[in-house]
Amino acid sequence: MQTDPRPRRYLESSSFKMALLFTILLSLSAAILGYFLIDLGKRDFLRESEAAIDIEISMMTTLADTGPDNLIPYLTMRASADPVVRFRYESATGERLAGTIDTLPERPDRITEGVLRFPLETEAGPQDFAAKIHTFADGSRVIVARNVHDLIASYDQLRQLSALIMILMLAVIVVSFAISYFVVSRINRIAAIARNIVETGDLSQRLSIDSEWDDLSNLSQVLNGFLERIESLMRGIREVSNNIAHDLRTPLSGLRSDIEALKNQPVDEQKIDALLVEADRILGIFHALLRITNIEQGRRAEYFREVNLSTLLTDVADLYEPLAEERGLRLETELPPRLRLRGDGDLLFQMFANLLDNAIKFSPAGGVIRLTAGLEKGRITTCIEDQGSGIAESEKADVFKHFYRGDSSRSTPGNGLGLSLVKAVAELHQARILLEDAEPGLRVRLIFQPYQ
Amino acid sequence: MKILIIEDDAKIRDYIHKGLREAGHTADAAEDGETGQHLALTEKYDVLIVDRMLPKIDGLTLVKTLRGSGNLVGVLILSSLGDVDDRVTGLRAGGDDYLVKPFAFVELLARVEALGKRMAAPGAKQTTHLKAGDLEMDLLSRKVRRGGKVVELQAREFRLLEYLLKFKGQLVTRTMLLEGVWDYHFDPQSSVIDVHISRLRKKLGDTDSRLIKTVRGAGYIIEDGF
Repeated sequence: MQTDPRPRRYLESSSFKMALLFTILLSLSAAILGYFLIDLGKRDFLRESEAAIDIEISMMTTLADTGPDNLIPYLTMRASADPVVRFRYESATGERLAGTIDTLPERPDRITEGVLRFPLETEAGPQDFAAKIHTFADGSRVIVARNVHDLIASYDQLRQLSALIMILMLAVIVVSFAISYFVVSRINRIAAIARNIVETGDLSQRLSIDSEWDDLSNLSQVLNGFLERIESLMRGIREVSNNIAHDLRTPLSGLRSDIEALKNQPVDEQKIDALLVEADRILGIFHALLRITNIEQGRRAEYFREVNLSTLLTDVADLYEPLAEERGLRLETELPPRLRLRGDGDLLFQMFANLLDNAIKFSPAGGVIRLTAGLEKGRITTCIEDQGSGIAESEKADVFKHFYRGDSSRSTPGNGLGLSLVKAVAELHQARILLEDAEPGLRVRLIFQPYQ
Repeated sequence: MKILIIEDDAKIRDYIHKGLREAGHTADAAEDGETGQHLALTEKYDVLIVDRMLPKIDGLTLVKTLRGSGNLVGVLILSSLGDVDDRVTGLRAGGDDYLVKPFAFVELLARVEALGKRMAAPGAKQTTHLKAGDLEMDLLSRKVRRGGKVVELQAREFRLLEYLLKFKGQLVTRTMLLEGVWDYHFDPQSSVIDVHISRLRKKLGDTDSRLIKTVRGAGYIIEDGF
């Protein structure tokens, strides 16, 4: 696999590209919004008012044709009927003939061609009106004005709102770039450390965590835990391989010198057998180690079946009882008829066989070994108790380590892997192992998970 | 017995081949799965010794194919040290027995011969009576007699003797006894089986180990005539 040796530049990152896409989409929305405001808003929002004024003027033109006397009462009537509309009817000389508009402002604003805009006093203070002027054939003029205050206010509101939206969009764009930059620089930092670990093989490095709130810090924490676990596993492997090298060197050199001693000697069946026993012992250590590794990997959980632990313990006791008897020991069992457990029968058998084997090995002649099992608070609990010298408090943490041999066990046969296997099997079954003082002797208590 | 060895490691293959011939068996050897499968399907064998990891067709697939075609030949699967705990998959694929490398040749031979015998006498004609010299065993009434005198045995001792007698004249290794009599696959740390055998000998009045003979470094055997 080819990996890029450089950290990814911000402009090449997917985060930047996402932010860019985001910006384009937001700009598009802003453009559409702007179009609506500029193109439609300004010209169209007063069109209704202008049309209403036009209707008003055409009515008046029709009335004026019938005679000016009809126009003035109509104007008075309209003005009082509709407060939105105001009029001024003036003669050709500019004298007010009817209507409520006193004077026209000197320079009124023009909204569009022919439409004026000026403020007029109303009950709610001065408000904007849109107006049109129509000059009749006799030179007299009529000014028709409609109150457009609310319309203009809404339009202004709309404009302010749009401006606010655009500002927010801009803020979103800025923030999205900032976030993407933050993410990219964080990821680059994580990647740089990871790359450094890959290159140097130094597993003691950790990712820096400077905040708690963001997901990347969370990820960094998880990755640090991950590194921690790998480091401890690596340490374990190194320790084990050191131990293997150390533990196998002695029997291997023994084997070597024994083979050397056979040079120029007649082939002796017995000596060959002795060599084979030595070789088998070394292979046995490998076998046991691989087995423990295999169990620790936990793949065997797929072979879990329902096991009756009572039957299994009876079988183990049955297998070891003659051995105990031969050593002058008494093996006592106290087992209920049925204890259901999900597990791997072969491994559980191996585990209890190892424990009984140990108990037999370390018991003084005439001693009693007790194997009991029962249910405590819904959990299966088993105890194997001997009357040997027990395990010192200081040694308890070490006895499960690979190749560990206590002072009292140096003289007994064994490879120092028996309890490691016990621990591996117990962990596979999520059982807790307790080493208790049986006064005198050792009590190994195993507490299993409730049956599911 | 006619035996086929399918094993890609030339050293192990020749070692097994030579050993089997010296033990008086006819043996063929194949160095990959394809040749092995061809031989197994065209020739008639009593037992196949199949390595799990083979070039072209792997061991388990080969066994599955054979079983699929209705071939019921006895199959002993060999596996290397690394896959110690894969015996379940091996047996599930249709293997009859499973042995982890490296192994002692006596162990392999004992297992192959036991397998051959088991295949030659299928379950249909179950014997209810076993006999060797003046030792008689009635499997129905669960009675054991030596020289006409009834010997009282516990259930496990009975099964132990039954297993040894079933393979009368053949070497039975300690692990075979553990697997056959206790039904568990595990490595005993001490010589538990030896103690059981010596107890059984005592009950049978076999004080000089003439009935149940010890084969050094291998196991036990009950000779037909002893």
